[in-house]
Amino acid sequence: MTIIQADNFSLYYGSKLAVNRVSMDIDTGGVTAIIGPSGCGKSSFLRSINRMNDLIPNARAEGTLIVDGKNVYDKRIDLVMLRRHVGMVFQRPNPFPKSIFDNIAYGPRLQGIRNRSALNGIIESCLKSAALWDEVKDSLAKSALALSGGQQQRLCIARALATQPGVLLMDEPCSALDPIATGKIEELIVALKERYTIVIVTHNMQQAARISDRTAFFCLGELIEYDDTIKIFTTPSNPQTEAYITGRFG
Amino acid sequence: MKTIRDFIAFQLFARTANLVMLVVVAIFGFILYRSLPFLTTGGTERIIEAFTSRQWFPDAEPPVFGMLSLFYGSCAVTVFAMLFAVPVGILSAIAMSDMVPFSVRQILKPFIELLAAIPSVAFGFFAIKIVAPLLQESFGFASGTNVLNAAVILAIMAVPTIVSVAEDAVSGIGREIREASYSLGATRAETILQVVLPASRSGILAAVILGTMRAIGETMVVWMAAGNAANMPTAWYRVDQVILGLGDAVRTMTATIAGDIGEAPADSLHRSALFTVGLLLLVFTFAMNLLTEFITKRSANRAAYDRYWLLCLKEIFSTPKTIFFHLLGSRGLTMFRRIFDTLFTLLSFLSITLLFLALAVVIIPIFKSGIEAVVFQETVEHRLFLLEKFRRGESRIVQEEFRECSEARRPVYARLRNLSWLAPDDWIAEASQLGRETKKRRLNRAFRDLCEANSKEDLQVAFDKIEKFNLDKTDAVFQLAHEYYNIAVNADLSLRGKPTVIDPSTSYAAAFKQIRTLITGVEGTGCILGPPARDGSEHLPPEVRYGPAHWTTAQKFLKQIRYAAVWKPRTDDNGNILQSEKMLVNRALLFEKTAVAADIQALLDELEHDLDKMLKPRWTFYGNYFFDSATAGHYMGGIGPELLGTALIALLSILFALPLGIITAAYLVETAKDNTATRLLRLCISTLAGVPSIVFGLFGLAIIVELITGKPCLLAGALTLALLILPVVIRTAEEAIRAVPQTYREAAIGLGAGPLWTFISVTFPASLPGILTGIILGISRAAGETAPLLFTCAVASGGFVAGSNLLFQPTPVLSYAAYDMAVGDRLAEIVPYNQFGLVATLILFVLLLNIAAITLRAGITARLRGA
Ligand SMILES: Nc1ncnc2c1ncn2[C@@H]1O[C@H](COP(=O)(O)OP(=O)(O)O)[C@@H](O)[C@H]1O
Ligand SMILES: [Mg+2]
Repeated sequence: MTIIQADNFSLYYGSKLAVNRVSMDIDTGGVTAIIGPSGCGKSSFLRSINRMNDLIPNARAEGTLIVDGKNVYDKRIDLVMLRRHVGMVFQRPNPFPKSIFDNIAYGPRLQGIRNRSALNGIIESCLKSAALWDEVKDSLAKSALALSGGQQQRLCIARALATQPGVLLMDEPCSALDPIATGKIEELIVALKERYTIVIVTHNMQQAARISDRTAFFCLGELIEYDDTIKIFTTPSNPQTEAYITGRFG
Repeated sequence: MKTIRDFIAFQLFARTANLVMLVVVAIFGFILYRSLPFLTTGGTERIIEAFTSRQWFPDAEPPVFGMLSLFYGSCAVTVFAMLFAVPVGILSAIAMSDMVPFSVRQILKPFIELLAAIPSVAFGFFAIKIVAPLLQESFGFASGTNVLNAAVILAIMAVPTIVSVAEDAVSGIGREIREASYSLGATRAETILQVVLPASRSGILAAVILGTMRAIGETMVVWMAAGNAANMPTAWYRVDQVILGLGDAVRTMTATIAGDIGEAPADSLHRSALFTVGLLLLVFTFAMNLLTEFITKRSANRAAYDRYWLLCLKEIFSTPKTIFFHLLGSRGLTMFRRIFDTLFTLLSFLSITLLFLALAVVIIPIFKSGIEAVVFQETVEHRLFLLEKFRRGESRIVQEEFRECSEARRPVYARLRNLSWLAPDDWIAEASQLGRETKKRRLNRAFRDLCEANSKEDLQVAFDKIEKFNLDKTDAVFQLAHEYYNIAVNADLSLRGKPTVIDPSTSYAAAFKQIRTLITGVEGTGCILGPPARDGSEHLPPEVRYGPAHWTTAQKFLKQIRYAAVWKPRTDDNGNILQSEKMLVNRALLFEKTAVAADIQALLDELEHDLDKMLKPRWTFYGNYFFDSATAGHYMGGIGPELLGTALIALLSILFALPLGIITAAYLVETAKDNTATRLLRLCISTLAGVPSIVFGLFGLAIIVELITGKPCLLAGALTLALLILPVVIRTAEEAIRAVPQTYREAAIGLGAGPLWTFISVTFPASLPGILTGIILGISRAAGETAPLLFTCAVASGGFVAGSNLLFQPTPVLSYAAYDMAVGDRLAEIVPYNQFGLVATLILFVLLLNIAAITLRAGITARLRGA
């Protein structure tokens, strides 16, 4: 079943075209990777899905982008509901300067869940899902900024899970991390794909090959090729894709 | 590569930079030193008295120096000001960083900076001239200068500072954690309140402290607006009492220093007590400074609370919210969040609108009235004044014009003369001026009898007596007597002493004299036409010698002549007088049912009808307003001496501050290591930046005036201001030198230049545009300051400073003149456009300099970015 459906979707920053008429369907469940040279509009496309681009002055969208049957760029859309449903993990870990507990409880609290035991339950399950529970369970009141980079990123994932999203967008979640932390996050992503639809942007092709089920290749704002990961990495149909994955450009 | 020359240069730079520390130490030291007589002579009792007594009676015997009410005054105005300024400031900062479009923000930001630069004396002026009458007349306060007035103005003044610093803090925390919050489904209000504000709280706290320091250390506004009477509610700890006290006048610490120094002889206990007040201010601001330092440092190290009990505490405090959310249900909660978000956005926009509105309300009236000083309908009197005083204008034409006007005025003067038996003392005065020597006493007595005769019979007797002197027919006194007799013989002389019907407190004679002075003038108040004969009136002050310069002033006089202000007592049923009310009545009515009523009516009518012929108003542009000197009270003329004084003192002070400032900045950037000494130097600079300006005034008085120049003068004022602007210069210069790309330096060093030569030949020239920004900002700051000049330089009025001992003369300056004209000058009251013109010029002067600095800086930033 399709959960995200882009149809002739374009995104401009002022007059600069960052995403050029992309049409792409993403099915429920599984991991979809977006690869491509830097500056080709991967992040822009990803951030369009939960409308994070609204925060960027003079960003403007054209075409349709449907999530769960609703046009995201419809004027009447409830942004709060959309973002609750489509969680996001950013390139650089960005925990709030609050305690670990407060970081994860942030989303649920906004939704009115304020009961201590309910929150405790959510926090434990999210931290467990993010494979962080064992490391922090004794120091939930500690500042999140005291964690290591990899731990912070997993905390951010846990925080995103706490709003019970259906879709999880990840924008190069490992690019700021060392290989060990990267390995942990990758494991985590594979574990999470049973329950969430994951769209991940990565510039690391091995990573895409390792963890994703389908892969989209972007270049200069356009979607060049979109297929099963195995097919993209073995027999790409577009010569540009081939050139990119064999490392001849990008 | 280090040569002996570089070593010496380094030592020189380091020593010079340490001068800044010396300055700070000297300020503390000398203020303390001058406080010592007060702190030591009376023993602990005196000190206890200072902190526990509300009585500040320095002139009593023995004097009492209780500072409690002064502390209260400072605190009251500051607290009320902050109650307004902090929320508005923070919400405006939020609106600027998170709500308005980027392009709008780019405009608002420098604009706010501009507003923060408006001289405080301009705000004080506004408080006295516009807010005070408003409070008194429209809101029924006993006096318009009170806590409320000072607090409102201080708030308006402090908001730009708070916004500027808070905006830096709020936008400084970056986009990333904002995105994190939004991506979790938070609204904007939630993101700001729960993430942005907590994360930037140290910066915001610093902004609030800075605003508070500015309010506590402010002198001119509170001196002018707070009423200057040491009041303090008995129960000062009770909120209701304090709020009731909003309408009371208070006296702040700063205003006490400013107001009292003049009355405190140099070596008196009183003066020492004032230095003690200054010392307390100094210590307070220093403590605040340390606190800011501590807060910013600490939060850099530790970003969140990691104590469990804090978490629990937070939970307890949020219980009501929990219950509220529970009651709302999930649909209700969604609605509530949306509404709350909208409200918060509205509130923020409201704040920023309010901020600009408040400042517009201050600035627009000043400029609106001020422009009248330059563009106005000029009467013939002004043209005559310019001709006679500055030899400007076509002599023949002006004389001819004035002759025509005199012709038009003749009937009015004639009527006045015919009625002038109502004011016999005028005649007596005129006769005595003739100064006859022979038979002086007896003749004078006879003339007096003639003038004071209250009936026809007495008049005849007196006149006969004068005839018996057998004076020559051409004798002046005889002619005067004859003229008087002819006028008075048909008049009802008994009328003079009778009280008028409408206003029983005024006699008919007095009522007439009011009309006459308004037409022909008396010292200290202006007049609508001036004396009947101009020749021989050269010795008269300009407000008597000349009629009004502006047509609007003439209109005002006309209204005063047409309508008399009468105090009507209001009585209760038993006839007891409750209070008197002022009301305006047609002046002719004062003379109703008397023989002169018709004459008075005709006089007033003629005056009104032919006034334009008598004054010949014409639109003019008086550009020389900025260069002409003025007569006393700025009744006529321009603001040349003040403008020159301001320019000179600002230029001189930057000249003094610049070398020290640049060397210190160079030292900080190029050679200083990050050690305790450097940190101390930085602390000294920030301390210097926080010292209240009145304390600089005290320091200038104690050191520069008393030890170096011996009297207030240009040099003393400039040196004092140089210290005040030193931090501004150091900071901008440091920024400028730091902004020079490292590659420039490396290139020079690669070519074999030593550090000193690298600085002189490469770094310094490259940083010059940035340093120029600092120069301009320093000049503008120096031009706007008033308090430091009170005791070191300024005089209320005076001509141009000139001559070889220029530096050792006191000079009028715009800022002090603005104060002086606002608080005491009755003449200045008559010509508000000259007051407002002066203040508008001061604001314009400072703003233009700031605009120049901002533009320059924008240019530099653009170039650096482009490079
Ligand atoms: N805030 C912005 N304003 C203007 N242009 C932007 C902005 N963000 C990204 N761009 C431009 O849009 C293009 C796509 O950027 P991005 O989506 O970040 O690429 P990627 O994530 O693939 O590296 C780039 O050329 C970039 O310069
Ligand atoms: Mg990217």
